[in-house]
Amino acid sequence: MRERGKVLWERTSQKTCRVCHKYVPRRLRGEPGHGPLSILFYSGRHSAPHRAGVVRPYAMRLFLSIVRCLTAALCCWCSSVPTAVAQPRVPRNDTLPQAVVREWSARDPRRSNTPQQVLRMQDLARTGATDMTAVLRRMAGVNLRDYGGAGGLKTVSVRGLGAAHTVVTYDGLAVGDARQGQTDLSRFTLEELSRVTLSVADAADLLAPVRNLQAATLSLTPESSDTAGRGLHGRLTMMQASFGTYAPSLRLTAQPSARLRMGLSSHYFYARNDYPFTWQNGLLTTHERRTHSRMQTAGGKADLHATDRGGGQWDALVAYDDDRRQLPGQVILYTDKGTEQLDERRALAQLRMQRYAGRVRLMAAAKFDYHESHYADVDAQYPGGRLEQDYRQREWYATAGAARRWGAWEAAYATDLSLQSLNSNQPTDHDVARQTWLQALSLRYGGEKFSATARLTAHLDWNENHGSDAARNARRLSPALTAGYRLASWRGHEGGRGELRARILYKESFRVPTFTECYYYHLGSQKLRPELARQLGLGLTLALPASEHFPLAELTADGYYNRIDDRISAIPYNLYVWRTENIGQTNVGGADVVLRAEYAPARRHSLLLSANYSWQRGADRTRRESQSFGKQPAYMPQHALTASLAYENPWVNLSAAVTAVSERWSTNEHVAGTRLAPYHEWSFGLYRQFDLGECRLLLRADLRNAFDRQYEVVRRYPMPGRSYRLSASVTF
Amino acid sequence: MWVLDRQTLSIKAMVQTNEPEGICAAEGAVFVSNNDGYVSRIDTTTFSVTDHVAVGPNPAQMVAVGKYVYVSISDGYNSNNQYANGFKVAKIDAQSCEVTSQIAVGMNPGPLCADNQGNVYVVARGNYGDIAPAVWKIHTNDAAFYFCEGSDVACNGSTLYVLNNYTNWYANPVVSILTYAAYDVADGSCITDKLLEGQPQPEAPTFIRVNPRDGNVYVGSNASSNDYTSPGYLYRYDVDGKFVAKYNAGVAPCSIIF
Repeated sequence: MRERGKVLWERTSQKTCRVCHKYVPRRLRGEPGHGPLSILFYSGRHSAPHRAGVVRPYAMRLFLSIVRCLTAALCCWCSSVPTAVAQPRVPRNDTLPQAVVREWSARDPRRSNTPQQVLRMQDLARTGATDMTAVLRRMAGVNLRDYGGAGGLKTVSVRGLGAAHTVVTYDGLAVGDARQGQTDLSRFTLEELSRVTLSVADAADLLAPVRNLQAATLSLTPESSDTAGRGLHGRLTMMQASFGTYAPSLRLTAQPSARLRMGLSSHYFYARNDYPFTWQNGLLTTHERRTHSRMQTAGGKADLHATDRGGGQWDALVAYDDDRRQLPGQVILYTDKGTEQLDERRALAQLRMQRYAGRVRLMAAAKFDYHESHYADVDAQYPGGRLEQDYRQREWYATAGAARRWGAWEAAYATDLSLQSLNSNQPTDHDVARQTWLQALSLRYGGEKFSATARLTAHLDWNENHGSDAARNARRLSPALTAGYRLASWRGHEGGRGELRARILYKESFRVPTFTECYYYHLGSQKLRPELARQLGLGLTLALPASEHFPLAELTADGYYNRIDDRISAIPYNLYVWRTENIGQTNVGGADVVLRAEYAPARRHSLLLSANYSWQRGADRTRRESQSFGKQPAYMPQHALTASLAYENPWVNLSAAVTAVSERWSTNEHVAGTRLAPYHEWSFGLYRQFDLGECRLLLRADLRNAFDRQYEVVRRYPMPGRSYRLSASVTF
Repeated sequence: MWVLDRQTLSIKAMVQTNEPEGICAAEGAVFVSNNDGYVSRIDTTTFSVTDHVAVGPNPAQMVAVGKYVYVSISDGYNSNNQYANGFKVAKIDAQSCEVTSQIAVGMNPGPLCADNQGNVYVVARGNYGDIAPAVWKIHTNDAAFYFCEGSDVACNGSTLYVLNNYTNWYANPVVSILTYAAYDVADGSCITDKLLEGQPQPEAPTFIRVNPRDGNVYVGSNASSNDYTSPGYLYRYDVDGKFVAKYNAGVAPCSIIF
């Protein structure tokens, strides 16, 4: 933000001032647009403001001129919006200029009464996570189903509850799939995100959409439109990796006025996915290659963020994605014929609002989501030589709520309404819909040492089926209680504060059957009841005082016991017909331990350690005479460990990461021949950021699965072996 | 398909066709039905496909009677249209590998067997819902008629054994039937419709077969009615239906050869 004759400095992320080259202490540094707050203020290190001298290449100047012309019309409209931001005065020595709030403060996850893990994009670079799979593996308690390759389906289950009990939110609102009940996380790229948060049992914010209050919530926060104080800001990224993978992306942000920010993004992804793998066929070992796995995805997004005169914040988002992929399917011996294809298109439009009306905090949002899926299997066995299954989902969703604080007490009420519809070309049940009404009443006490949150959620839904029987309607009240207590607090030698906190939680939640489970031809059952989940958990967080050599040292440990009743399973009637039924009770006990530490042996050198370990012991408790009674459920490992170590220095940064998983079984009965061997996978990375005037260039090279370990996460879906990944990113 | 030495079980050859399902031998050759609508003829000296003939959508099982091969045409992937292009059994001349007739039977035909008079019995499996499975009899003159209710058949030449394991999931409440019967093939009369009564019986029978050497009847079974992933069992009975033995089997046993 510039004013004639005067320059305001933004909080810099650099370690040295670009003008006077003096060292800037860590406590004054921060990423503009990220962290608790971004505040414009004069650099306290300098007695007089500096004018930043920037030399831009001619092509860059021309490009920026074109973009400014294109935004001129919008600027004319925006200039009619009166600004309430006072022009900064010439500072006196005892006053700060007025601050402009960029975004709402995020609660410190260490102070949360429920297990919360937050990974910021800058942290991910240090842990070696370069895609969504790697990000999810770095979260404790997460059981990832990965079908292999860049285009493989990736779903997540938290603490053994199942993928359908985990809600995925994007920019604060749940991403729904009423047909399948689970979200394919491979459709999200890290380049579009600023933060990934996993919350168990409760949301951090008391005032939250009710649908976000599931058993577990995976929140994907898109990159903000912060222009870092410049009129135009952007990032161009190019990624190239093994197996014919290319992924360019572009992000542009502009700030036409003090109250208005906007952004445009586009991305493209292409991969052949023809990776080699080793296969064991009895005594025979063969070397194969994945075929019929090509995929390409393209999409764009536009976002707008405005602050009105009353300080209310408005966020609008429009996105479109087109995804086409060949499905390789399971590995079938002696043939590599591939005949299946899946094409999907998604369109999303959503609007959110947050504001204060006196002492009352208000929240409202609305969303429309369209998803079109076209599956084709070209094979002579089908009538006409091909099987086609077309689905079109639409969802209209709205949420609103209010919260008020009285000292340490806060109360909130939120309500959600949604209408989901599914049309298909199936012969029966091809026009179905579901209306859902959710309400949540919440109360929180937030004292200095003790805090507690109580919620009561009401769920009502009504099903419709044009032409046939509708699924069973559902209604239920679900309570949740979380509490935390600060056991100890002390100051370290260098003034940092250490804390030891304990927490406890109890939550009931449930999930209604998906449209597939209710209506799929020869499989679905309209008589299904919802699955009910009960969670009980205890946890501790220890944060040591920050010091110059140890700026970060945190350890969290959580134990939990979950029980799922009326579990929905597909039961085979014979070789040809399966039916879904409520059959089953599963108990899961476990523990998660997360360690994060940083050691700075010298100036501009630091070692960052991040590790998490999960122990899960699940047991089928349906029928004592069943072969699966008491055994670990399918695909649930008993032990899982992920650790990463990064060395940051002035020359080139290094990262190393390992993921280790114990044996699993592909069936609940642990039948001979269905054991999946334990595995460990190592990855290494080099990265370096170059400052080019006002631009930054980030180069990164990764070697994934460095020791070429052959393993499967899902039976008969081999994972890629050794591969590389190169990326270059220019931020301007 | 794999060709194995019958003594040592070592692999002698591999013959590739497009999605093989049923197999039988006739006139010195081996015939394989393929899900793409063709039957392939395999030379047993060169282990190669020497001929193939189009028979109809999704041919399922086969049986050889004299110089003819009968293959059931299920149209099993056309459930949306009630298997409309099936409803028949194709009769193939094993010498010329040509279809000589298409014999109309019930919905979704599958397993077949033959008696010692040259008649063929085929199970029309229905739609796994409100249309129950039934056994049809194809006479030597290609005339076909409804014979009895049943989901699987086996014949020792003179006696036809019929397993009827049927559930109508569309009914409210769900209707399930499980019976074992025996018929005299000479006149088609029912010997007993309570075969295995009073004997240890499988919980979830999947097939019925007869050992041609001793006439013992074998019934395969899943672990239980809803357990498709646990190891199953094999029950053995004598010619009169008296229980002889129970054996452990693998997951979802579906057939047996002697």
